[in-house]
Amino acid sequence: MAAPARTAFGDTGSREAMIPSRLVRVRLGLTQFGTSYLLLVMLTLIGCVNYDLSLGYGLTFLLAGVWVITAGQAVRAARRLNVRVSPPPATVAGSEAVYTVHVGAPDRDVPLAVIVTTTQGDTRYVNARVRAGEPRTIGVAVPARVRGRLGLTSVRVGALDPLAIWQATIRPSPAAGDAWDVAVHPIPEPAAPPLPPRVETGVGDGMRRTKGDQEFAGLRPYVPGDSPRQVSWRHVARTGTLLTRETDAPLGSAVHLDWHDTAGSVSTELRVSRLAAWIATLRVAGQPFSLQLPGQALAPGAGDAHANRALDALAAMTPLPDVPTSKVGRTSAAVGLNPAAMRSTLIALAFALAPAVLREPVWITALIAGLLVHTDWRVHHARPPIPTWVLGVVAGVSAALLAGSYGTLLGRDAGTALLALLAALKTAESGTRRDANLLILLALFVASTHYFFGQGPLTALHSVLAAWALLAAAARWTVTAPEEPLLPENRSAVQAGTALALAIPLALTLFVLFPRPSGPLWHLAVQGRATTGLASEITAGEYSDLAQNRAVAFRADFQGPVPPAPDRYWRGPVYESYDGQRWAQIRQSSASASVDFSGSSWTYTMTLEPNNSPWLPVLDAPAALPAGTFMTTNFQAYMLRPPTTRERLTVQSRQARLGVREYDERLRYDQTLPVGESPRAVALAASWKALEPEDRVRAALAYFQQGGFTYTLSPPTLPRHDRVDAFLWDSKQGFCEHYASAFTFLMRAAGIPARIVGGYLGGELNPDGGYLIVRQQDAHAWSEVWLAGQGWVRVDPTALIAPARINAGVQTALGSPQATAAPAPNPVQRLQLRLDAIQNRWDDLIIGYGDQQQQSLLSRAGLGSVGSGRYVLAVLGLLLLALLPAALWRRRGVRPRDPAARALHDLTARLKLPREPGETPTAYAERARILWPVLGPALDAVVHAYHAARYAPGDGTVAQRDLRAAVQRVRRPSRTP
Amino acid sequence: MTAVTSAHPQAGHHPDLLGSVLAQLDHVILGKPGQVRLALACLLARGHLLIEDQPGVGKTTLAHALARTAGLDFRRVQFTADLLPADLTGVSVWDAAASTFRFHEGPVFSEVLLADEINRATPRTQGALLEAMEEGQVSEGGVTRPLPRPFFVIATQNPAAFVGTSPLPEAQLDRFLMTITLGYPDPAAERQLLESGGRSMTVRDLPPVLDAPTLLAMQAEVDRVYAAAPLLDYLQLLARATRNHPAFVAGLSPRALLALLAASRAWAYLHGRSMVLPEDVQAVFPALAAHRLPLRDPAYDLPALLRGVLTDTPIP
Repeated sequence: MAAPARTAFGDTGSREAMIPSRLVRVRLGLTQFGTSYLLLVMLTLIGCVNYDLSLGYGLTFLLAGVWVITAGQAVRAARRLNVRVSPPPATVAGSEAVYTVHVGAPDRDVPLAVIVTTTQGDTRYVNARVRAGEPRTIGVAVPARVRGRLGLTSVRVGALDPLAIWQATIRPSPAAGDAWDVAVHPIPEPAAPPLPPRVETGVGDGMRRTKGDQEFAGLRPYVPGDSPRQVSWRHVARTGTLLTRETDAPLGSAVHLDWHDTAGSVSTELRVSRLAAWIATLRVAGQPFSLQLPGQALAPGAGDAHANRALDALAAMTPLPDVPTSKVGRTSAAVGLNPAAMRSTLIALAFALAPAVLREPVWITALIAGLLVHTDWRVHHARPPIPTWVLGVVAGVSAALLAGSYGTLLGRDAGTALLALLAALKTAESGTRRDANLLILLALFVASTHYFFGQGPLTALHSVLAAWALLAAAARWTVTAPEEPLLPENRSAVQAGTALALAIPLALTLFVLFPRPSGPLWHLAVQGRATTGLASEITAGEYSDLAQNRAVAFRADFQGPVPPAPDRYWRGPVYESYDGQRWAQIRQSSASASVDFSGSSWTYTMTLEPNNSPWLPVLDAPAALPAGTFMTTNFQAYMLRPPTTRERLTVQSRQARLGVREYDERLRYDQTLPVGESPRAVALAASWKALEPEDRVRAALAYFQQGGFTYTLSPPTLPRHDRVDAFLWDSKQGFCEHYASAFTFLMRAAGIPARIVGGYLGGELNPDGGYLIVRQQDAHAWSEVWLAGQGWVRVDPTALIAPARINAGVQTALGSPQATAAPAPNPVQRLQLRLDAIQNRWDDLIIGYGDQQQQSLLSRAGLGSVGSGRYVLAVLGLLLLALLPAALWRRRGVRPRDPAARALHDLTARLKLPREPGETPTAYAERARILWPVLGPALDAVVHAYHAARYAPGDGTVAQRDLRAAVQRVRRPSRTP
Repeated sequence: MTAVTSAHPQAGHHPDLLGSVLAQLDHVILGKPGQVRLALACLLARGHLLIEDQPGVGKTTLAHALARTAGLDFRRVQFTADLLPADLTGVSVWDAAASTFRFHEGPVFSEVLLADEINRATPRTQGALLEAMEEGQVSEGGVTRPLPRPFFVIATQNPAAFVGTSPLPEAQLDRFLMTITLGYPDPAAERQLLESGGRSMTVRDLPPVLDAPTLLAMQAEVDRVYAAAPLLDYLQLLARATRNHPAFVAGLSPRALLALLAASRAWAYLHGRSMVLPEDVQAVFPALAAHRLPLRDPAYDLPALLRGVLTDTPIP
């Protein structure tokens, strides 16, 4: 049986030529969103440099990686586009001509931006999404402003990446023998005068007659179905046979339209549009007409084609009107907010803002939540946004309240709270897709501000998830035309996730190798934070809760062994001035005293928690200090800038004799006491004056040991005057400050230079990480006495009262002052220590990664310093390597899921002859057979098996096996077609 | 294609009959094998056929030949501006002898009805015919009379003539399963026509190959032709392509999709297959979609647009 369908309609032979865009140049450009995105990345990078936020670098480089990766995605999508443009048949001036842009993307879903510019100076932008393997047609309506011809000066079809950061544009051009021009017919005159009476009879169709009911034409035999009214009953009555009357009417006479008929009108345009109105009237009536124009005549005729020819002639009438310069309409239709995409954006925004809830005032959180919920409600119910002035008032009042509660608006806490509020206010005001994009960028920025408050692993996880959610929301905004289906949430999540995952190698490379400048460009005021550093003065006798504070002061990670417990004196501020109540620090601008290093040294990395104290507590004497730190004349390590974020410093300490050569002025000062204060203690010390200096120290210590003193954190308060007497003879209870204070007093009274040193004692050794955790409760005060030939010697009277304070820490010392070791940690404490170890490792590797660590890594890798030739080469090489996954990552071609379809797909791949979208397997086999006649029988077998497997009833397992076997038997002949 | 289609023997028992029907029709309607098959597929799918063409290209011959070959009763009604519904459906006449109303059946009570120039009648009359086509019955004088089965309407209209016509609205065009155009015969066929002389003679002498019960059985078999899930996917993709197409005001309706499925089944059956293949859909699609897709601009080339839809819609 022959297959005749093709002769009737099914002939698909004349396939229109698609432009192979592989040969077309692809121009890559940033979209508006992409430009803003780049600005955001640069802004966060500057912020990270300034505040030395290591995690911030990570997020910035991840976002930068996404920016780079998506460029490749856009270019690759553009290279695979097939584009064809076809013009509409004709159009009328003042209306729109709908050009058809036919786009096919064989192997991936591509969001598109189609930009068309007409010869009449208008530009139109259409946003659409084309699905993999499903070519589609996109109508682009451009205004036809004036009569004449309308063409396209440029058609740009931009393939967007999934996040619409980049636009890779191709410019299709008309195929050979094809034009994009379209005739623009004149506007018919609205109230045209009646048709001219000029009628040409006898010309053209004038004599043809048509069936009608005007004139009697004759009789014919009756056939069933003839109307009874048409039956000539007179004849029936006369002859007895049924006859039907036939009537007809003239088909119509041709109306002659002449250019001169319109002579009364003033302008050419008016004359042309009057003729157009007449032609429209005649077209509707179906009446034939002829047309006489200057230099052109149209023979009589009727029908649409004839009318179009006449209008074409009118469209081309010279002189053509000038195109008005003013713009008509918008470049693209205003698109409201898509409720579903907006909800994704709001959820992602809320997630990005969420950690701030812990630190913001409650009313700010409530206000932000209210604004977000309101926006969601308003977008879903298509209500107008809140007026800008209302939001302005809200913003002003909130800013004033924030300034009131924080004291300033420029600081870290107030600033971030204000930023979060502004983001929420922006949602309330949003009305366009641009606003939504801006929101996403704003939220990305807000997500990075959380690093000011902590850079732990949870913060890092949060910011990556927030970036993912926000980029997924951005992916939903790439195509928002109302008639386009919205990208489903799971697809957008996959697309954003893919971009992020592909950006990871790039981000890691940049994180490790990007130069880390040290030193800030500006400072951010830190305020409103409880500080628990070392006290700036010591007032033994007033209540202190320092010992209860388990907050971490710093961690110290030793290279080599950890010093034993009795050596863990972390030296901080030195208190020398005493007024009877307060021990305070003094500033003395003398030259440095001598430091004679001796004994073992410790090298360790300290991770300082942020605090306000400039003292860097180090063991013994600092032998090597990090940049930004120096040693005072009191042998303290002093930081120029207290750490506002967690900071890592590497310090080398060494046991030393301090101040063997000390200045007399200082030594004299360190023996002064307020006159008349604590006379009993002065008298006691005076009794030792005959002894050698070392023996005076021993005598004082012996006094403490035998005096019945107890160690407690809640001693009775002491009177304002004669405190030392009250302590030594009345209360006899106290903690380190009391003992250090009393001992130093006694020493000075005995004529030995003495002073109090503050700092930390001890620290908890974390067995998981092998480092010491020093907490605020480990703060301690002890004394230093100056002995000739020995310099400043550390004396800790507290150690005599409660040896456990030194060996086992303050908690143990309170319960059993004589204990020699801390009890073994319970499981909860073990878990805390383990978590702390993870945190420490994180701080070490991620947060602490700065210019020094980078430098040491580079020199260990043999790359020289930042900026050296080898470094540059290595950076370039590694960046290229990091791009490799993205370059290799291709969405696996649309290999169909159905086994039968997959087998056929494999066959087309093997034959290197792709199947067209609308090509049936039979037609495909036919085409292949023409190329390789040898394959005929094998192809027939494949098609037969394919039909059985895919279209026949039953589960088709057997048929699928047959199909695979049949496909295997087809071998591509070596001769290329 | 021949090798492929013959590889699927039809499970039914009428392939030989169909072969001789087609042979006989091809013998009479020269050079129009595609249209003859579409018309026969339309009959097998229980649809109605609309022929848009000039007078004198063989519309009546096709209808007549189809009716005779299928062994069906055939009538022709010339539609005019004054044709009334009753002229079509019939009237009850007072029979004085029997003292009762006797119903005179109108031409609609035939198995094959050729409604010539359907666009010349008033919308009221057209409505009556289309209702009969849809319902398969005629209500007159409070009595509902079923139309014969099979009931097959071939309507013609001349697209070039506008004066004094009432074009069928789209909703009513939807009642026709397919639209075909016959067009002028190719020179060889025309020459053969001239040599053989008048064709009415040959039509009138055609022997019936089928009869009404056989045709009804065949129609039932068409309903059993299998349409697999991927094929239904294909139909939906085609519908989506027309719905998104900028040249069309509206796309194919769900009813049109059902019609497309029925026509594809008939086409597959006609070609001796027990399952529908994408090529069956492609073969009937233009004839089925042409009158169901209103164009935004009449100057578009509809056949080219439909070809484009078929070319670009991927076959799952």
